[in-house]
Amino acid sequence: MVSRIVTDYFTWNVLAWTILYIFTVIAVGLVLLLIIKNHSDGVVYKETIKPDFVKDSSYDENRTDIMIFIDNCMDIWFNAALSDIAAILMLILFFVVAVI
Amino acid sequence: MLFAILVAIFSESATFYILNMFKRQTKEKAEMNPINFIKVQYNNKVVLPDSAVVLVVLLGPVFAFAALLPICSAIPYFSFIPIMHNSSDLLQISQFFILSDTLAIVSVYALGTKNSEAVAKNMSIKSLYLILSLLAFFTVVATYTEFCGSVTDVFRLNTFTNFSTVNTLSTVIYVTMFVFAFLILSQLPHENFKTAKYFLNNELLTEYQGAPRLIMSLWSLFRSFIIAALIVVIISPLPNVPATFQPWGISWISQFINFLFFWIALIFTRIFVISVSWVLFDKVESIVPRRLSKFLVPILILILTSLILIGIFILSSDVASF
Repeated sequence: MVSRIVTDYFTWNVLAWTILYIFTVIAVGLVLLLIIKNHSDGVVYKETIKPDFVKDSSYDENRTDIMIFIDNCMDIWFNAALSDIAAILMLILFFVVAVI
Repeated sequence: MLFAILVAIFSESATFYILNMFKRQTKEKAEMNPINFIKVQYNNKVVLPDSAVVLVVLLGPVFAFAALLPICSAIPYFSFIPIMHNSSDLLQISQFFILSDTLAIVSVYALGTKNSEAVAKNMSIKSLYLILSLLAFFTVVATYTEFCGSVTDVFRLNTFTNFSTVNTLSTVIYVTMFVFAFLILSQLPHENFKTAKYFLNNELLTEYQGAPRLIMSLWSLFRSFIIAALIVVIISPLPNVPATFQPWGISWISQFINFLFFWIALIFTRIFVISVSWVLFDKVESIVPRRLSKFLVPILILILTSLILIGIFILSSDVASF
């Protein structure tokens, strides 16, 4: 197991960070469990939610050709589900490539 | 670290207390203190929509909040126990921010309602902008110190402070660093002045109630506090702020003064500097055209990065002429 990543620019003690992270997850998880047990009787309640109307703030009646082009050709990519998370994951990928 | 969380809650509460004082003078509607929202969430039962993926919604905030704690341990004065020996690298801090934000966004997506999808989408764009700003800030600091000095580990928290104490910085660099800090602080916690509470606002995401929402609120609050702390550490004028829990032979009086300075500067930043940054950013946003204002943050990052490069050219040309 790689416990330490060393490059010309930084040294990362992966093992220490991972252990600390796992311990913290356990601690915060226990706190969450205790709160649920004491204030929610240990039960997660479910309710039916009616779909809300979400107003599209980017809609404009006086749209120019450039705006129509952006809406039809570019925004569909940006509006795709999880595309923003994919963008964040791309940052992780860039970092991994930089390390390698 | 518990102390840091308590100070974060205190400073958030103090911010809204002072904002309400101003609002009372202008006869605007006062905001409810975030502590009250947290108390309400603590006492609420866990209620989730039918469409929610329960395990992800429950555990997402836990993993997201936990990812902030390793960052916390890397910041001087947030922890006195030397957990991390080589922990102050900005890239690792950025990695954990990305991890934390992604998990938080996924847990909101996992609620599965139209409203939560809209909130998660907005959250992800804001997170992306903030992380990009942070990465750009860290990278320009590293590039500048590497190009203009003899520092080996350029991604340390105290690199810029140590560098500026032994080297003369050009005015362009000073101004750019402060504008960069303003840009990052204006994006905290998630939005601008009008929706500053965000996850502390119970009117938003009403379908997300109870303990996981409480953790999520604390995550939102603490995340912005940590970013403010990072900015304070990086551009702090005190050269003695240790970055590796090994204060190199400085006296206890100096350490005590540093400790006091750090926390006072941090609370001041949270209460006043961030609020001023919101107002300034709103002003800048209102000046630029509406379509362009959506991309204001990337445009500003580009301009500021270019300014740093210009600063490097000026400095290198000075050295060459000398």
